[in-house]
Amino acid sequence: MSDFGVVGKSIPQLGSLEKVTGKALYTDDLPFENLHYALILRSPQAHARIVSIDCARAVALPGVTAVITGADYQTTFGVLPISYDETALAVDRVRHVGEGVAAVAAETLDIARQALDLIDVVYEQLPEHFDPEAGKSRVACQIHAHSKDGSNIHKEVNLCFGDMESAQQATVYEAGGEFEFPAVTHGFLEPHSTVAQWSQAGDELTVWSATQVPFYLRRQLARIFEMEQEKVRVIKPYVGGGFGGKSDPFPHEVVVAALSRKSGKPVKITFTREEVFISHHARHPSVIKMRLGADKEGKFTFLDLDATINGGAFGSFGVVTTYYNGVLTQGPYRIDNFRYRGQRIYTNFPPSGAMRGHGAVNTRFVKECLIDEIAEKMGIDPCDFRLQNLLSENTLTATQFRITSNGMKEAIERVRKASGWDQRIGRLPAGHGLGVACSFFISGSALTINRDDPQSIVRTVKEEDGCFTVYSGASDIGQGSDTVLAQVTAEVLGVPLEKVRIISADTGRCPIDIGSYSSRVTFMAGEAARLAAVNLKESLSRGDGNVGVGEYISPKLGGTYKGAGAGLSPSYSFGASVVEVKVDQETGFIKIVKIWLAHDCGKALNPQAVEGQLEGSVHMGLGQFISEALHFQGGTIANANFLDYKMVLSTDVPEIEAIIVESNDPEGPFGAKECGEGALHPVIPAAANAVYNAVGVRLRKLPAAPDFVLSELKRVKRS
Amino acid sequence: MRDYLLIYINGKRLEIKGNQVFTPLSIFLRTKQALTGTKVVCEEGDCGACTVLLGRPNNGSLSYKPINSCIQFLYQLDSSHIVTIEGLKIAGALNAVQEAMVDKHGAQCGYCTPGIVVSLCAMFDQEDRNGHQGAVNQRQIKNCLTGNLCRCTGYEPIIAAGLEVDKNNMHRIASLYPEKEMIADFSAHSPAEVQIEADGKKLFYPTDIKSAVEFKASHEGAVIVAGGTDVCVFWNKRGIEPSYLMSLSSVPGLEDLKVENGKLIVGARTTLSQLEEFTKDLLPEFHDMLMLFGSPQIRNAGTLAGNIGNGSPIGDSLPFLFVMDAEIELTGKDGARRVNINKFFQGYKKLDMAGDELITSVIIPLPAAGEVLKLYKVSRRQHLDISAFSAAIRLERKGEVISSAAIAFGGAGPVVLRLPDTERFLAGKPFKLETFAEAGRLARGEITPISDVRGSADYRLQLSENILLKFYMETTSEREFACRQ
Repeated sequence: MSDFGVVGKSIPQLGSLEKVTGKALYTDDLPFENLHYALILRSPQAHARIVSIDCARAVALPGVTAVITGADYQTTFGVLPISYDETALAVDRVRHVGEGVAAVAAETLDIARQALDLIDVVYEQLPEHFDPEAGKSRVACQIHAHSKDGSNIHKEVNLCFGDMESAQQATVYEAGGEFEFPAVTHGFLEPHSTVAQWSQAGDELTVWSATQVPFYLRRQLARIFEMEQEKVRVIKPYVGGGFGGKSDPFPHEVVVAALSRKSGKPVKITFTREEVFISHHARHPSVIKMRLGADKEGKFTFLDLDATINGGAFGSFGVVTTYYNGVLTQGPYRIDNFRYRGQRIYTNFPPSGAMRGHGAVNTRFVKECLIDEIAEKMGIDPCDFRLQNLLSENTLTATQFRITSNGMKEAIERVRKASGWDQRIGRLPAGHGLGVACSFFISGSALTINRDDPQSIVRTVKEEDGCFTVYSGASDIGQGSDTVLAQVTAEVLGVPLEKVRIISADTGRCPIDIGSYSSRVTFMAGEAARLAAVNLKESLSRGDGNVGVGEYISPKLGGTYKGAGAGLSPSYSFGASVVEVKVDQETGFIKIVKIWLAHDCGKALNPQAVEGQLEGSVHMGLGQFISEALHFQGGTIANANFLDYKMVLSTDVPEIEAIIVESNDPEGPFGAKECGEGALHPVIPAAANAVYNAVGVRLRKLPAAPDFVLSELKRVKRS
Repeated sequence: MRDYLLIYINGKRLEIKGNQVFTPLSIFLRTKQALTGTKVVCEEGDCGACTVLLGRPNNGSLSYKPINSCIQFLYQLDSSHIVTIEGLKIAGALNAVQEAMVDKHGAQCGYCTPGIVVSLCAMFDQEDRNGHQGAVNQRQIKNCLTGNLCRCTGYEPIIAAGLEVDKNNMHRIASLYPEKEMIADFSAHSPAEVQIEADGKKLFYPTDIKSAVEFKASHEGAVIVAGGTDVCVFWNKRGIEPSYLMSLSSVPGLEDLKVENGKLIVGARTTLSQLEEFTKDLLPEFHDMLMLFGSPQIRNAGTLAGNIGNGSPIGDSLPFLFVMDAEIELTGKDGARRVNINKFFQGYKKLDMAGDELITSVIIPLPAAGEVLKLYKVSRRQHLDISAFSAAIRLERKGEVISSAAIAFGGAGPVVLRLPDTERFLAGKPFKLETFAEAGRLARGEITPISDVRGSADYRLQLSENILLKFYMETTSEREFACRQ
């Protein structure tokens, strides 16, 4: 192992000085001269035809400078080219409560509010679709006409690998069941916020936005306003968290650009918390049916999986979600016989999309719970059972994913040891329990969403003053990607970190990076930065220039079956968690006592930052386990606030022991790979397995809120 | 008579007039003072990203407490000094909390960070003012942060940062902002009433109880605002803007907090955090319940009188007051009268209170020696949550026999309920498991819970039984319990 100068050191995050002093400027904080304010009129209906919209009174209100409706911009867009199904504002029809119907810009927010009240919309209610199961067959009044056979199916995936029939014959132990998951949401603190401003001549557009994907936003704005992409500049200021919730190009980003064009003023929108909830694009609610088998030696024989995924009103990342529900479930275990059917159904709820651990969290939960059940039937320790079924290094999965570095075994062994598993399991006091589970996730997608996009390009320049400037499109949304780029660059060039400046996430100044999602940035932008620095170093030593460019392109990977590209990644992360719980049998309240989490991140470029990602993942997983869920009344979110949407607080978080496993990936920069999403997966099923260990309740539904747990306890006691 | 509010912000003196007084502090800071370090996230006190320090005169100095600036409107803030995140940096250098936050990676996205830094600084300032020696512990830091949501870090690095801070390197807020002149300025102004009228609204700061009562009698629908933790949420979220607002902060005599003849006297202006501090040794069970009440920011603003006046059937303080037979002192045009809290609530949000009357104090008898008191709050998370169910059980034992019991449940009906049948049943019964099991069944029949977003009726019915069992197990030593079984 070589010695590093900057890489592998827990240096503070770039920008943290600005953050702790309140000087960091987020989109809503930016000062603008003569700024106008936008508000969106939102539908109270879940599914309705817009009979008429009358904006005349709003237009006439003094101080109002622009009013638009869906008719003004009808180009459909979205994040995936195969699902361009959203519009800036509803055209003729609304498909969920809260969908934008009209928008105004005014000199003050107060005037904008008054103007909204002056817009008259007449709706004609249409049949509402809230049940995904019903949407699988022909429905009265489809949500989108492109769904097949008159249904509300958005995407259906059918995959089968190996020989399911003989696998079932070889099966001695089997577990299965149906599991139900509610919608959960990102819960980032910074509300969406966007400012748009056009040039005097009206041919250039600049947008400041709280986004994870400036280059996707640029692409969509250019399409909608029919401009060359280089005439649109998207700048990402500081972003207050994303977790997937700022990784779509959003309607409101188009709306402010349109209002700015019409009014000739810079126009800003900042969401209220309710609007953030309505905007959603978060974890899909789903119903998962799964069966898992093992032979007499305790080797997995087959996995049979059906997922019904509630998509909400629009596509968003949903096609990817539908694949991920299946293909990311197989690892980290060897399972050669695997059948999957996934159906994503349009409903009249706010659209679901990508959220930390995208697509794989709920099915992971089911699988890890079923593994626990089989281990119990076999009378084998659940850690041992997992260990004897792991994928090896340098192998292919049934779906032909290429596994390279693999720290799974070490991760299990480390949490097992740290938690005192072998000494404690089965010997805990009444009401206490331990549970274990594993994870498997991508380090970025090997295929790009837009085929003509490169994945990541970094340009590094040696400046006159002896400093080095790194230009990268990568978006630091709090995860610390700027710091990673600086560390990698300083390491290669052999210069102190202070000599490296980062200019990032500004499409007008930086080469492309396709965004901060799917845990791709450290691996891909990091590698591009490493290559840029290597090339610059060579140029400097040859004396033929002061610029180095690095480009990351994934190797060609995968099989040839339909859908073979989904879930392909140049590298996968692995992890394991042990959770200890104490269940109050009178109230049903679950106290999380301690969490151990070991995660294979390849190489920790900044160990403290990696631990931050692991602990943050634990926090979010814990919330989904214990208290987070969106509740709906009809199509309306009944708990669109942080009091009733319960994220865990400082006093609810137990001691977390984050353990870094380093498998040194052959293709990641200095061996690094993903650490921000995979780590969320194992916590939830490990906690559920711990509850079973404590009180004998198998949770088939989340969250494990006290009332639900108490009723389950009662049911178990009765039977 | 004054027609402006006197407020200092980061040491800068402001006289605020007209309709601006009806603005939330957070918005005023961000849009009128260019202090954008204070973040607005939820606008209802659920997240703490807008936390600032509120300094008010207290015994000749300014005592600084963290509050949510999104639900603290300027109309509540006459004669106060606000310190924001921008005001905590001394001479361009980071303070010890900020340094530790950088060092320990306490900030990821950074949006909650200003609020967290302010909360931590407030904790160290309070420690110093209280003369506490020694390091702060993890529990203190966690309790200090229950009102600050962080979605990135899982809190671990923030707690680590808090533990790393060297208390001796912290500067007292008072040393950053000399308080003598501010206090002199406040006292020069405070004897005068404040009256501000704008946009069809009227704000009034009386200086004695008589004019307060007169204002309330002559302005129908007048809202008395202290902490504003309900009023301001309704204003922000439901657009409910009262036409007449009255603050009692200049009325002397309402800040009582003392024990007199075995009774705890709590003046109307006493905040929940003052009460929490005062009851630490006096009433540890109530103190622990107060620690779960909202968040530090909420408790620093809200008052016990406000919690009672709001009349919610699930108010965290209420079951305790019910089993203690606390009395509410109401003052009106005809003087003061006292009502037992058990008779004060006549229906959902319906109080035994005339149009001219104000709650001036709460009188709480203290439990006698030998009595057992247990308070319960059942919610989905420990802090910053509205309970699904709450309970107070007060019981006296003579040896193995229960001599008397008082039981009150919250979340069990339209108002907090006493359980007379269960109480009567328990009196004279042996102190054993079967007694409490039977009492639980009785209790179940005495309540009428509904199903709502916080819990189902079934769950609440089940809890009414289980909580009595829980009480029995918790008040029986483990060995004793094993023998009895």
